[in-house]
Amino acid sequence: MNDDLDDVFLDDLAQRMQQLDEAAFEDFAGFFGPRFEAFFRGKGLPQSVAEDLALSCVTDTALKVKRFTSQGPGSFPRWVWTLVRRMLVDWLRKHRSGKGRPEMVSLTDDLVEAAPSHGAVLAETLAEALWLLSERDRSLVRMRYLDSHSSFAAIAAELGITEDACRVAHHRALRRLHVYLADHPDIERYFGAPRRSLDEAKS
Amino acid sequence: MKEFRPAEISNRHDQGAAASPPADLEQWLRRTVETAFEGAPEGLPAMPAVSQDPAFRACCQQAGRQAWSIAQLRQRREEAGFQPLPVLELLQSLAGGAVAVLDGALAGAGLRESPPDSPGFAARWSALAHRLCLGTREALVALRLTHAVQADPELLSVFYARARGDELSGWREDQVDGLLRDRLLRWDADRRARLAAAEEAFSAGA
Repeated sequence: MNDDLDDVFLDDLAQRMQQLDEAAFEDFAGFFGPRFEAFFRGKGLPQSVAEDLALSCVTDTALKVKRFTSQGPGSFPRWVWTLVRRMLVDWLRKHRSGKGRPEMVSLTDDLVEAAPSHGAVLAETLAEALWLLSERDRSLVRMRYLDSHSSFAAIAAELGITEDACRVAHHRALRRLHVYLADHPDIERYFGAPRRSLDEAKS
Repeated sequence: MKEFRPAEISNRHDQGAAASPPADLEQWLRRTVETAFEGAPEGLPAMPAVSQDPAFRACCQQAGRQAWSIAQLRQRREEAGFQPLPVLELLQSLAGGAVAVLDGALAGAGLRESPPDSPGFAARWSALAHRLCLGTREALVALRLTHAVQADPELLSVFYARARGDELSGWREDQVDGLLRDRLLRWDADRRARLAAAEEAFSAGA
């Protein structure tokens, strides 16, 4: 399945899954499974554990899709990530007493017991949104905003595309991030909801 | 590092939202990124590359198909109601001849990996029953019937006779459980111990 998805794909996907469309379940698994695995590895879980947990999350999340009610564009991936974060916390709680897993105990403490600062909350949310982008678009956004604040010319050279294509891809990536982030409760809490520009972004 | 003040940022953003869309989007994202990194623990957000491993991607697709199979069975269970059948027969009945659905559910649950009267099977059945949204008692009846039919292959026909021609689907869980308890008393100690171990594994997996 192509990672470079239309903005409406994920919300449409939820509807198709609720109608028990087999291909929709496979699309869901193909899109989110690798992202879940990356998310869990990013939390410090060993790769084999991250893979097992990601597959389990694919099944469990897909089976809960009947409970999802759309709250507008971007609400489905937000709902999915909320479930997955809860599943991670549950998994960590269950395994925290395991011997030889001090790093996981520490991670559980970080996630469950220590109230994260606003920065951590926003960074987590931003990371989730970035995982919804294709590899190329994520690299583009990272180079532009996170790592080196590079120019479009430099990013285009790095990615092996023209500067014009880089600008178009950049704008599309921002729109996707915006659709995901604009109504997100964590973002609203700190920024307020930019609904007007969300509507403009969708037009 | 500057002290974080949500109200101030909110006001700044409200002003920015009136700007033209492309510029506004870029400013908005830049502020989001900057604020995300203020006070964030070092290393956040962690963003390892999304796996391109074809083997793992194939596993994901398989997990998706298994979820679809279970969703199909769950829907048919909602429509059919309680059926007093051993675990595998119950799943076959729900699948209604759809081999792919049955295979997907069995493979996803790992029910083919252990003998039906083993604790491993009971633990896996517990997890699948939860995903199928079966009640605990209903799932336990199916497990007990699985053991009972192994002890007494004619049991289901005895049940039919006791029901005096009633459709099995009209039975309630407590009726079946009552009949099963009568039969259990006639089992040898070894078989009763096996059922007890399975029920313990079922409860632990719930």
